[in-house]
Amino acid sequence: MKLELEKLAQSLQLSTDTLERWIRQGRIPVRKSDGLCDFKKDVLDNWALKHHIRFSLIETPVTPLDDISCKSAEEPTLLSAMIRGGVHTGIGGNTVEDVLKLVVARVPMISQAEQGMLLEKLIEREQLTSTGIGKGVAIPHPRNPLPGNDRDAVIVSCFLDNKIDFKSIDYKPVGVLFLMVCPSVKIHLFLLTRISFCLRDDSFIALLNSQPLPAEFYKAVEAIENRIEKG
Amino acid sequence: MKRFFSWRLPGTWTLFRSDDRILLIVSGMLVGLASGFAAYILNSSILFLFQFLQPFRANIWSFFLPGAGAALSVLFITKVVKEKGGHGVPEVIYSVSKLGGKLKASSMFSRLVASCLTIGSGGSAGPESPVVISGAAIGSNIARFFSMNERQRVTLLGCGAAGAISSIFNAPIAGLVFVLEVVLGEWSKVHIVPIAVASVAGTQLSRLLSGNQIAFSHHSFPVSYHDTLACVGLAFFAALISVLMTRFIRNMHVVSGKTKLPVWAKAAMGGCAVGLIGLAVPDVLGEGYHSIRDMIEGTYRQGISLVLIACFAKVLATSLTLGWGGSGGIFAPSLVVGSFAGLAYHRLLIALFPSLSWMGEGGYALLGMAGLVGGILQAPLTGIFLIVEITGGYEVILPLIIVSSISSTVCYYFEPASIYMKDLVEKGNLLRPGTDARVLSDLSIQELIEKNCTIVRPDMTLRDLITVVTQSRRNYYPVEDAEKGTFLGLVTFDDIRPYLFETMMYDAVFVEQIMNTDMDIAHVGDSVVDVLEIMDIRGIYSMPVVDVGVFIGMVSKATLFDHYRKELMVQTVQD
Repeated sequence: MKLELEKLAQSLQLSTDTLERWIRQGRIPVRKSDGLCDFKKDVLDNWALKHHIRFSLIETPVTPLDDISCKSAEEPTLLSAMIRGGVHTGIGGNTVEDVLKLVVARVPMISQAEQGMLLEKLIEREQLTSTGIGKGVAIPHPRNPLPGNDRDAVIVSCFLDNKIDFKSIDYKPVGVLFLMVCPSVKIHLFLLTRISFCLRDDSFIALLNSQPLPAEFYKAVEAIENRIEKG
Repeated sequence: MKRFFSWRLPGTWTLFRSDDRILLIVSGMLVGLASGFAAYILNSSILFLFQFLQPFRANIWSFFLPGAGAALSVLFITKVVKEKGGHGVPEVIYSVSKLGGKLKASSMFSRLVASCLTIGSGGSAGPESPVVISGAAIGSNIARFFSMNERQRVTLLGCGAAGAISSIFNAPIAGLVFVLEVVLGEWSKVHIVPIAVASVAGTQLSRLLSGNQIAFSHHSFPVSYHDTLACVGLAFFAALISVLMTRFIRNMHVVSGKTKLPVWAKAAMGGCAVGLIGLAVPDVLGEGYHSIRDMIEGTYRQGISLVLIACFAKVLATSLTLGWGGSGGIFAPSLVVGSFAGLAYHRLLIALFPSLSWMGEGGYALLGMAGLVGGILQAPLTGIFLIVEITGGYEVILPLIIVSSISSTVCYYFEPASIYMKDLVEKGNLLRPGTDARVLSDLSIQELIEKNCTIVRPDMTLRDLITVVTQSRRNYYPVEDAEKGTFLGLVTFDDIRPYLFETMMYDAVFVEQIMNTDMDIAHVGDSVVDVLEIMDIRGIYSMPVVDVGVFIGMVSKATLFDHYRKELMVQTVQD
């Protein structure tokens, strides 16, 4: 088959200069004809295997690996995680434990046993230090991902009926909870930076205090996330 | 049109497309035949010229003949074909190391003519190096004609050299081994098969043209235990003469280099000096095969002192011929000197132990030859196989291995690089495949540049810079002039670290205040070896690459290692 030099170089994860030199020196079973690289795929596959060089054919050029931003398939957006978790109102309770119990019951797609385990871990985490990060918001989460949890990240957004003392860093009572359940620490940290970015925005805090409707809430999150991605 | 021209692109034929081995074997055979024919032509013309001039050698003025021949050969090389002089083999090795096997088309015949003039007129040099370069040039130019790549071209170059050596000595294995051991320095099966085919083709052609007894006739020698023991002494003797001859030739080069005369006049002086020696010891003239023949046959009559004189006279004559600019090789003179050394050693043994029955003097002459080839050319295997093929049997294999290996080991101690390689090694031009030097010389800075750096401006505040840092994946930030785009300096992560948690400094510090301006810079055209040396000396892992004042990218040891490993695998893993 025939392929352009740049595309073949990318398929082999080489620079075009190196590939061009290897062709000239006859180190790779590729010929140049009419400005294109002429090769047999099975022969090149064998050669790459023998020389421990990665080769996966790319027909269309992609951005080099280093240029890809932090976003990848593994890292979901804040919005998608929040949509999965849903927005919940009318949550009662007067103590941290009561509230967490009610919130855990709202986490979608987990079994009863997992709910029990999650609650246990959330309380354990709160005992370590409070997850109340100020401005009336808390982000309860387990210290480590739940064992065997390979589902997509979920953020359950809850607006409490009564503001409760969460021992937050700014001593303010908490009225909004974002319960985070993530499959990996990396994703957890990624989503955490996004939430913290949102909370820096005073208009977002004002929106939270007004207990917005889900559509309105999601729209605000999306707007902030777009802003982050544009840098 | 394309159909018409495709015969010049055999690499695109279906038969050869997936695997070029058959292509190399077929073209190797052609090259072997062509270079074998070149060797036959040179051999016959030297013989013709030598015999044509033989009647005049009785005259006292005949010492001018080698001088005239050498001067003519130098004029031909420098004025007619406009090439640099030299032995031949070093140029071929240089071409393999640095030029991907490219040789000038004129080299196909230039050295043949020049060496024919030098040797035929009586100069003391060998026809092997000239035929090696001619054969190699034939292979290289056939490969170029068929648009072959560098690897294929080097193989065909090897085929040419092997065909020539095989043809001249009627010894196919010696041709193959010489090319792998000396010319290519690489024993890979990709090369071995086509080169072996070319050796056989060259040998067959010379047998067809001049019979199965070309250089020396077949002889067998019964070897006894005391012969084997005595060989250890011969090995040391051969090593001594090898070192002597190597140093003589090199010193003669140095002396002639310092003499301010036209090159042809220098060659004429050297040639006349050889002519004068030839008046006293006629055996030193020419390539010397005739005297070797006499010695192998056991018909060389002179006593030990005359043999020793002839041995040293040949060393002197060879260094005068080659050192002062004559055209020819060192291979045949080493064989002649080796056989003189072997013969002298044999005479000494007989004088010391007259009651023992020693192997014939021809056998010792052959062992001496192997010792000199092992010593001077640092090619012990070539010496062993050449002698095995000349004797047509394995009787002498044990003493042969002893003499060759001891002689080359002892010589290596005094002269680590053979006479072919010494200049190349000194100038860093000997690059054998799969070695560190080869891999580094193949890689270029252009290939190693990483371009994914975020460029910053000198008037940026630290706050802006930290925003850039959070979004970047690199630890180096090149600073460029906003208007001219010229490279001003580099900010590394270490430069920012002290201020990272000092938020008060964020708007008080500017990039131009913290950037480094006196770091080492690499250029696109620099060699990787030089850049790596600077990194080692300074203890740094990355360097900015700048071209005409503009930042191009970074070059780092990490990327270099990645490329180095790939390159090494591609060069050393055999197909």
